[in-house]
Amino acid sequence: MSGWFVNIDWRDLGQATLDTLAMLGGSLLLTLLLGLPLGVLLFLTGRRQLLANRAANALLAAIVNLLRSVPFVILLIVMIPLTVLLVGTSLGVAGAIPPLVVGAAPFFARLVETALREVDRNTVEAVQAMGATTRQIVFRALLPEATPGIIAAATVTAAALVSFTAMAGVVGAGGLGDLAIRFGYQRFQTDVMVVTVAALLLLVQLLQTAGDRLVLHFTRR
Amino acid sequence: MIELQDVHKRFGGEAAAVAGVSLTVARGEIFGVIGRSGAGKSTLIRLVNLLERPSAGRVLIDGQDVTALEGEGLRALRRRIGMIFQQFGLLGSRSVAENVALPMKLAGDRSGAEIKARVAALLERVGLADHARKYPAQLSGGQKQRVGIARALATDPAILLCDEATSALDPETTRSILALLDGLNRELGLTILLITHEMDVVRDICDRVAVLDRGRVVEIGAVADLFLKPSHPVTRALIAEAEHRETPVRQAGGRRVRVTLTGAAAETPFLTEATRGLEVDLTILDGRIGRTRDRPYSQLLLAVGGRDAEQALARLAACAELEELAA
Repeated sequence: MSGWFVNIDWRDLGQATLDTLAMLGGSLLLTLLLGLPLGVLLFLTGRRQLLANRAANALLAAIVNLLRSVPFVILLIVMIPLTVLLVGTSLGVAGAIPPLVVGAAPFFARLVETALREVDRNTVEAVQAMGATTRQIVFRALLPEATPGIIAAATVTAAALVSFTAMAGVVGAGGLGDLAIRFGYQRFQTDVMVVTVAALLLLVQLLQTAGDRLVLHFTRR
Repeated sequence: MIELQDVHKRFGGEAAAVAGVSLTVARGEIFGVIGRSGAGKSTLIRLVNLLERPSAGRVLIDGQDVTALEGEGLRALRRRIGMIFQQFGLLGSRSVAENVALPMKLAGDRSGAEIKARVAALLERVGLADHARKYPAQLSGGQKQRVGIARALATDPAILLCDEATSALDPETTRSILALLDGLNRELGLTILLITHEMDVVRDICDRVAVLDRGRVVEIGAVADLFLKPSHPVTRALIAEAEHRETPVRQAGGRRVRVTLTGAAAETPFLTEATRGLEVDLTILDGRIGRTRDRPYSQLLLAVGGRDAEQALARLAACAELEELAA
């Protein structure tokens, strides 16, 4: 019993897990709230869609692509002034949430756009031909029809956010990833590394399973 | 009822999908537009309820110019025009009953009880009363199209647009859907505009037909006329495909004539009547016997020889339409 798990402070680990969950929960919620309308707009302004608008679509696409191409570690640092402005600190769980959202929302928006494109064009036309308003088409047809795809997109985004939270340790955000870097990597405490990675793996597993179940629930077959 | 006046539709820099089409669909008729894929049919039918805006020309519904309608006016127009689709366009996330109820809910002018009663009546009419609680994925293609039809009729429209409505269905199911459309047309006086690439569909239920090729109407007329005496190569090709025909190569002496009879005359023993008591050699080289929506037809390609050939031909000409062909 001497070699394994001696370095692990279970209270630290517990706190780190809670921090990760808080970062994940907060950033996921905001990512969905921001990314969903952004994805819908990307879709609607696209070529030959309901609100087709080349300029607006190009602008949205440019913003999304820019944010998606900045490496998250860089985004963390570049965003510090904005983060301080938004939440009063660039540290801890609260400080990590703005960059997490800015990093993940455009990613989620693209996935939402893809899910909406999967909706059969005849279905959208059918609802349009009934005399539906654009709002009705979005809320009564597009979103309900794309629900399984959007949930799958949210699941993928949540898993991506788990790995983003690990990087957020760089700016002192805390959490499991931070623990893995500071103890597991920098102090060669392999056991800490193994346990934190296992905890992260478990988290991703749980998210994916829950997501898959929800997708199944909303698929009418 | 539906009038298109020199309508054009061009997408971006591509060649015009619809290039100057004028046609009128009368109240209560079933009008078909046939053409190959890429002929512009899908675009044409979408111009009627303005799912596509014409680049030029006018669309009139019931005498009213609707080309520039926007907002509530446009939505009200669309509620007067039902539409069904090749891929059915049902909402997979909603049950059959919810799909049929949707147009009424969107319109918001009927009470919940009214909607419920109407959904039941519509599903009864299309033969799906027992499937109200199912989801589209649990239905066959034919059943899905029946839901599509019930839904399209929910707002009690005067016009039904059918966008290749039977193209995804097998021949037997196609016939049952066409029979349903035929019945609805007769019962409700529903005006139907359908587009298809299948001549069989046109022959079975249309009153009149227009042939579309590269965005233009190349031939238009009553189905029997167009079907029995096609003048444009595209029409001929479409008919030949539908009938799996090859040019007959049989040899026979005498004059070659094409005899066409429609209506009651097609069901008379016209061949024996024309040759009774005469010395005639009659060879049937090719023949088409069938019926369009309301009219039986017989069209035979004959070689007529023998001593009394002239007389037999004269008798035929008296009861049928006769066209002499080069031997």
